[in-house]
Amino acid sequence: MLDFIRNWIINITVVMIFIMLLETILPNSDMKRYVNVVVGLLIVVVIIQPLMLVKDISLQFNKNVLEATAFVQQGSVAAQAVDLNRYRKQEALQLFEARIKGEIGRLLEQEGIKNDNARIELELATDIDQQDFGRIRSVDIYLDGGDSSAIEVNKINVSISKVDDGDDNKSVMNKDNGEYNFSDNSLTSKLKNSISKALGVEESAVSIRAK
Amino acid sequence: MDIFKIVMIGIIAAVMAVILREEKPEIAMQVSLVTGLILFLFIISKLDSVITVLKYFAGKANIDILYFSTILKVIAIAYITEFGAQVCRDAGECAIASKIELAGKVLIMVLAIPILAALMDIMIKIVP
Repeated sequence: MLDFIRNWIINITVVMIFIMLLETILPNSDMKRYVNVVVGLLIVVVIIQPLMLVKDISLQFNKNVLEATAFVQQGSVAAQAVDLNRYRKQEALQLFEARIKGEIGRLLEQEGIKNDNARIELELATDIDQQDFGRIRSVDIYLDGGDSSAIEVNKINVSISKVDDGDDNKSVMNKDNGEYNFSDNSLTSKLKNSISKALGVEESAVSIRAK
Repeated sequence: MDIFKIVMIGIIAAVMAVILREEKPEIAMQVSLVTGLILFLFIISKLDSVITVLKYFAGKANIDILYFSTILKVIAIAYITEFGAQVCRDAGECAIASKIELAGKVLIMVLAIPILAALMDIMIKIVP
């Protein structure tokens, strides 16, 4: 009993000293009043400790404090979890996009097109709440760049056939409108086919344009 | 002595801020902000040793860690809030400063809520 009273008095004294120190190092502001409320509650807790032991509800008190703390923190933790999940999905989407671009670049290189001359644009489903999140909606590949020799296309035959009405039916495929030539040649369809197979998307979702 | 360093930093920054305020007020604000941060970090390192000593004595006196950590959290919130509010006031943003103070007060109250709730519960149980 004497030991308990001794501990109780030590507790009160030490808490008082702490609070005195706290008062001195606290910034001079309006905040002091609010700090005093918390400190006052702590002093009450320390003072009523013997009563808690008499009724043997000390454990109950600690349990209540922990439960209330968990309840208060629950909301912020849940919000953080949502943010973290969103961030994780965005990161995964970026990684996915980079991988797909790398894969397309590899396919283009297989066909002899340098990656420097190709600009790949992907349209992905970015809405995290939707079920089709991350689905590839379209793939646009723009082939251009300063080095025109990098874009190798099949040999183009220029055929000009004379028709009855006198007009020339020209399927003119000259160097000046290489874009038209390219979009029509077999390499384009071969690329489209291989990309759609590799990514598991429909061929219509893949478009290749050359400048 | 550290206090000389702190005072010198403060005076130099104050002179610089006064000179710059005429020509470039935005730079003056940045000077005061950076000075505040430097002084704050300087104080924090000193405060750390004080807290270590307090922790040691708390352990020796067998004080419940719940009370001690709550007191430390309250001090930290009060200091950081005060610092943020002062920086905003220096920048002429009193409205933001008061919002920071409000946030600090709310967070201190949030710390108090578990103790208050448990205390109320105990009071009800103790009183026959």
